[in-house]
Amino acid sequence: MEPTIMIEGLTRRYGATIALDQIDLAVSAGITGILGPNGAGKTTLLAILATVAEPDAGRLRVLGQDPRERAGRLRIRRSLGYLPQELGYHRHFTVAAFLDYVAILKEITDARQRHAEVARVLAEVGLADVAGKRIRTLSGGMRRRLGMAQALLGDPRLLVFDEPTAGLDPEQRLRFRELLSRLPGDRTVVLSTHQVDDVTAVCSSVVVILGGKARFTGTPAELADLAAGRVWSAQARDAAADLSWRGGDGSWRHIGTAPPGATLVKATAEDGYLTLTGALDGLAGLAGASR
Amino acid sequence: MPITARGARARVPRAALPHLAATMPWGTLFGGCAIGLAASVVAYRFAGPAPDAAGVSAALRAAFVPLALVAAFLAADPHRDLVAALPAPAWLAAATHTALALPVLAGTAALQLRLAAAELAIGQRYTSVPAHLPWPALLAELGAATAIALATASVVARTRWHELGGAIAAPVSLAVIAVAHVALAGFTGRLLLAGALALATAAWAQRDPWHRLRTAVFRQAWASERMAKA
Amino acid sequence: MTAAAGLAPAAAVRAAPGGARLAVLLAGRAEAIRLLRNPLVLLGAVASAALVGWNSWGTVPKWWVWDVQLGSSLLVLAATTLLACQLAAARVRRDGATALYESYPLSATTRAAAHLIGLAGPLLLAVVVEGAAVAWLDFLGPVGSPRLGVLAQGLLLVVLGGALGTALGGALPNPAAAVFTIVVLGVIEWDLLNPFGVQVAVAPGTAWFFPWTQPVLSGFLPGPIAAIPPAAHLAWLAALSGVAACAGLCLASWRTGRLAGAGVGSRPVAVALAACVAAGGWSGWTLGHPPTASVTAGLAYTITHPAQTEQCQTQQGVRYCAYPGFGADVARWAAVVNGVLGLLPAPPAARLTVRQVVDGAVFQTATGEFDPAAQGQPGQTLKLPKEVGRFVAAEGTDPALIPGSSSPPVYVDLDWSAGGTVGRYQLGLAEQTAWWVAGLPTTQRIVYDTTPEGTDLLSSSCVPVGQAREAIAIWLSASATPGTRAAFLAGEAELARLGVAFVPLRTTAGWVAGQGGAFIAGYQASLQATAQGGALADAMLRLPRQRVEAALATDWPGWLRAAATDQQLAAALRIPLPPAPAVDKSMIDPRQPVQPVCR
Repeated sequence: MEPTIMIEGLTRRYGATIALDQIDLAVSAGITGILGPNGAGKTTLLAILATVAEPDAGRLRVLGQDPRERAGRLRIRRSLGYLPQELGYHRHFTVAAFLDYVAILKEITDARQRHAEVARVLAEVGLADVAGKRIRTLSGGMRRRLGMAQALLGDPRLLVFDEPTAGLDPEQRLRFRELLSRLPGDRTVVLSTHQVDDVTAVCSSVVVILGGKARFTGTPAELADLAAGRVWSAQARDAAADLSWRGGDGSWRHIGTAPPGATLVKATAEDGYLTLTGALDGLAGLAGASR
Repeated sequence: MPITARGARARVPRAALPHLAATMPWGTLFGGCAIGLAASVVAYRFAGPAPDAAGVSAALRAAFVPLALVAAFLAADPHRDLVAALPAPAWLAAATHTALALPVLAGTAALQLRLAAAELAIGQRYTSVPAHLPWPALLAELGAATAIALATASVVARTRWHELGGAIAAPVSLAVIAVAHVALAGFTGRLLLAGALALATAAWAQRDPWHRLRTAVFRQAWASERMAKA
Repeated sequence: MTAAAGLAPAAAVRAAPGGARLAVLLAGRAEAIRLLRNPLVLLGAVASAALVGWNSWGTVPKWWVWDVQLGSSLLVLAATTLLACQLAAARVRRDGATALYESYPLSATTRAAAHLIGLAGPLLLAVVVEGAAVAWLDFLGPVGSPRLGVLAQGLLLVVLGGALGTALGGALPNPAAAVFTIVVLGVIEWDLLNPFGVQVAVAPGTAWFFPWTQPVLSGFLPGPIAAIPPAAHLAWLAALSGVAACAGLCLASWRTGRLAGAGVGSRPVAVALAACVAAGGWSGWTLGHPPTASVTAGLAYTITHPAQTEQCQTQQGVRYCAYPGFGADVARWAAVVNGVLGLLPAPPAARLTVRQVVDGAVFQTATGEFDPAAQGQPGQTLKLPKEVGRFVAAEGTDPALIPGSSSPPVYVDLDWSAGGTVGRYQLGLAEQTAWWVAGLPTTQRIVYDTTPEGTDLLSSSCVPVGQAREAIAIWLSASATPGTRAAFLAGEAELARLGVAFVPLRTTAGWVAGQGGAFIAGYQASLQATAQGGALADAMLRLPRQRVEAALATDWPGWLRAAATDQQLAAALRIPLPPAPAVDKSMIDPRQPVQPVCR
């Protein structure tokens, strides 16, 4: 079965800056997390997948369609739900009016169907009680949930979320994971985040973007394996470690060579991510400067 | 699967009309029209003893400027980033706002023309030489100026300054209108051509946001890819 | 997560004494740099500079006009500064960051003060633009010298625009407010600056409120007008700027409910506001006050007694009399006069005097009165005595008006060109010189025709019907310089394109077709010519110059007599006499007075 998203050699430039550099990626049904630091190119990649931005080079197929063709873009958008990083809204819109408007723009023109769909997504994200409130009166987390709600309108096959959990409290993040879990198995979700635990909790595959390049593609377990055998716990800080920090229980967690008296612990996906970014950003050098 | 029926796309503009009417910058529209109308009223009220067609036309052109500049505020869409990923056409908001604004602008312009004609009639009392207001040329100028403002706003909406919208589009379009006024004055046909070109520019700028606004050199890479694929 | 425990603890940061004032200055500097880099402000500067270049190209600038006009040109920069400052002042509200900024020690009022300090940026840009403009105008070889007080007004206009924008941003964050404010102010100012195209007559009593920049009436006068003192206008602009600045501070504090923010107290603002109102009141009263009798009398004397006020110099036997400061124009006039006189087979018997006069044709009303205030120019309370109107009207009718002038008189006015239109200025002077050489009148008698419908002006002069000296004069004027030749031929082509019929002239020899006036610039003398003479001159222009000169040299004094005919001249040139254009009977006006044939 053809992957939902097929990317070969994807490149995008902003002037002299290369935001995406020859990205190769295949995304199938399920939840794929895009990890990476600020400025890595995550938002640009998601914008291209959402047919909002045109790449400068490379091949791209989304839902079996070629977004370079107008008809292909239209078919993609009819099966797409997109949550951009910054969701603009008109100051006079209420929650329900905004969702109604987006539903119309998604070609749900039958009024009864549209109202039912709006009620459904409001219930899904837990905003049914504030349907009549103006968006500008909502908290940041509620606005983020509203953004998710508009993406869910029309039950799209492909969902692209850019930083969906930004500003959400822990309970709301759990609800988000629950929402994703309830999606039918043939749906494809691509989400970008800084939160590694969100990725490990719900994602079946992970892509790590660093400096515009895809540095890792695999499962969360495989990401954790990058740090296997290199994560230690000790009672004191070891200056020779690549990276070390003190946990809430007072013990020090180290990544790198074994400090004296340290215990080998199981690496997590976060350890693997830090190993990846640390190795490329020269964090080892920074740690050396602090010795 | 998405809940869409056959032929839904054609019904989107009508269904979206109430929401687009709510996002319409009515304050700017009526404010601009009020200012233009006030300028015409002042010109009429304080007209000299013998206004001539040239002077009345000049005053009317000045009074048309606020109307034309209203168009610089019609293309802004706060949902721009979201709408780009939706099936509805990207130009829907700007086109609907323009369609809603046109009757108001036309009505205001008609009132201004009547005031100008009345002002000209004052001067007719003292001369037997009939004077007429060149209203086709004046309307062509207003149309061209409005189209230029709309085109500028549409282009600005695709740039990094899109958040400022009319604040950037208005002075830029004013400069373009001033240049066009000097270069094309007295040639109604060329004014209409300028207006048509401006509308074409507006339409080009309002196309699918997938396409960048420039004919990028990088597109050659895309084109070569297509050729390789073919 | 900290990288290591080895990092030094953050140094304790305490606010330094007087830090609030320093913070305001630093914030103001940051705003100034932002404004200097703002594309709108830069666009305004470029547009202002372009206006100066466009309006001055090919002219000989008069400084008492241009030091005011520079202010007008800077209005574009002032407008874009207004918009940029409104956007800057409303930035916090527009971005929804009010709560964040209110948590800072610097209050909204202080931030508004920083915005006002930031006007130093656009002011610096205005200084650069004005400096470059002054250098450019100096390069063009202007008349007179700039008045620093007037130049400063242009800079204050930019400050006023910025202060207005800051105040507006405190009240209304919508950019449309600034855009339409600019439109309203611009329309008003355009009406003020374009007095001959507008029909709005503002009552003089309230006119002083509007002139953010002075109307340029003085281009038609031989020197600056002391009627509108620069100090008063400067004070007026400064007062307006101060009021706008105080309004911006007060609006910012009103929004947050506290006026005594860090560094800005209520008392200084109140004192400043009172001072601005007082300055505005004084300057407004001064601007609305009519000029003193001595000012108007002095200007009237200058206009009506050029023989007493001008400085004369003789070059190659021709006397040139010009108003002080216009000495550089003498060389330009001499090039034309020498061009005409150089074509003569023999030098003229009499001495030619070329005299500069104020051309009041633009201001003349039907009865010859001179009243600029009647043109509805707000702020221009100058009303010159009626003798000025009578004098400028008499320039075209009384050949003996100014003692010491030639007979017939040869006049130039205060304008000249250095660019593409110089040929038209040259042609105007060349024609008068040639008419003087030919002994044809350069003035006309005015006849008033009073009917129940009103009074009409009809001119009457002698017409050189069929006289060779007429064609010779036209040929001399067109051949004087390459510029006169080009202007003459361009004018002929334009007349032909427009299909202008020859206006019938009623003479004692019957109705004859009159020659259309040449497209000249500068002083508009009242010259009569026939279409027959024009056609013969056209034919002469197509001949080699030496051939025409040789023919004229055979009997130069004879050719200048009234008895020499076009027929004889054509025969001497060995060309057929071009047929006289027919009189268009449909254009015959029976009220036209009968004009004698020139003797």
